[in-house]
Amino acid sequence: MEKKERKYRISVRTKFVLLVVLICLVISIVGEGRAVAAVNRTSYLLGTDAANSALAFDPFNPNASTSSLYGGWASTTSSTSTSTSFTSRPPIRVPYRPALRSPYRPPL
Amino acid sequence: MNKEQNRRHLFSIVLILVGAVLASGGYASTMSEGITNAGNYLVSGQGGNGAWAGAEAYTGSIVSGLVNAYQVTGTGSYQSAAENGGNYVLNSTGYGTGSFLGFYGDEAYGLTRLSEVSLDPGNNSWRSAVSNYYVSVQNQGTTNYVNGLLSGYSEFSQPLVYLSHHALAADYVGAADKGIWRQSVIDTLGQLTDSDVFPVQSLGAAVWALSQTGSGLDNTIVSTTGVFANVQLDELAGILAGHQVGSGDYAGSFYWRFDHTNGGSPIYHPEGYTEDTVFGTLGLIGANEDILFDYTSEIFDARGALVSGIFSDGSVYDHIWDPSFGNYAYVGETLQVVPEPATLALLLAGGLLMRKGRRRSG
Repeated sequence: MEKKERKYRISVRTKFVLLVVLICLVISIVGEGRAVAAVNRTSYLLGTDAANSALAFDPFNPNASTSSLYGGWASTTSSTSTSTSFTSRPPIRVPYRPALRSPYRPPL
Repeated sequence: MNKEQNRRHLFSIVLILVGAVLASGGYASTMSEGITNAGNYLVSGQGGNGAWAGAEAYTGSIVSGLVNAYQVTGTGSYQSAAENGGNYVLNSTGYGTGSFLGFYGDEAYGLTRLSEVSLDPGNNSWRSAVSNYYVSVQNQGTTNYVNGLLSGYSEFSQPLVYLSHHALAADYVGAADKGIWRQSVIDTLGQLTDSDVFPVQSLGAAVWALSQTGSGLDNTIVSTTGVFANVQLDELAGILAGHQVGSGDYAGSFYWRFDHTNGGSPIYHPEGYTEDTVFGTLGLIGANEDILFDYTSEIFDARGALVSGIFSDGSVYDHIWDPSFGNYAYVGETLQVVPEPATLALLLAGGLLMRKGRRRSG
């Protein structure tokens, strides 16, 4: 009887191996979560052209072409343009938050 | 099982747990990867003229980030790319010609960072360029120049970011009017409100500059009116830390506005933007140099948030969690906040001590 009990006793080494397996599982699950998050971020990136356009207008320079400088603002549109991409923008709201600060050099 | 075996098992478990934390996106491993990815991204994306497409006006900030990355990693290509960027700043502004345009604040600051890692920081062409620029400004009247800069904007936060960089650069070269530059930061900060474009971001930039210039964050009153009425400089770091997100999805980043809202604009987040977090963190890093303040854990959290915003290809976007568009400027600015070499060395030393302990017990 005593021998039988001993047979089913879990050794410390086995406990340790089980712990390692458990930790590996946790790592795997967390890693999966990160991968999903990365996919979500990519999806967001692919679907935010409209949001980008919303940031394309520069109230500090309303007549300027929004061609390149301020972080990918609409590529060829102008705030005075009546093109489709302009009209598709949501109305400008206050407060306005540009993508990047506007540089200005006073005359030297 | 004897005590020694117990100890070994315990130590192994601790090691595995540490490994698990690191593998699941922990700070130490991703910090190193993030710096390398971002640094390499800037090196490979640099144009032949030394600038970065779409970020020409932010070359100074990118140069500063690359210098930081070079100091942390020792990677020579980061320093070379930073120097190429510095040369672009000199060439594009016509420095040394009769039609010199002058430097943006972040351009001047970037050149001082190049000076710091040059062979002779006390005497080099980068330092001379910055020093000569502030002499030129002084010759026409620094106060007039500052007013001219402010008049280029219809709000205060953007010029405040530039003035903060100027204050640091002028202080570095010992410009005669460095006190005027510092005072311009205080005066502009005193007018800052939530009606401005980047309230918290520019507060961060101001704290960063004020903590490292003149008498530091002393008991000078910022203003007698407005948001900072009767606030002393030594209270600013605490106020700035109060604008950091403490918990939740965007923990570690900074709010955009003083009221912690999106300002009633659903297209914006109240928090989590890259630049707000960069300058907010720089402000806390600057304040942390003062023995009176300890923002170590806040800086740690902010760095973790920023590094999590670096994509595997090294690109960085406007918002850490909800990226709308990327720009090289965000990459450079993020690299300005990476830990100093000493911090990384501490992390490495900790790892070595653990290995040593394992050998002894074995």
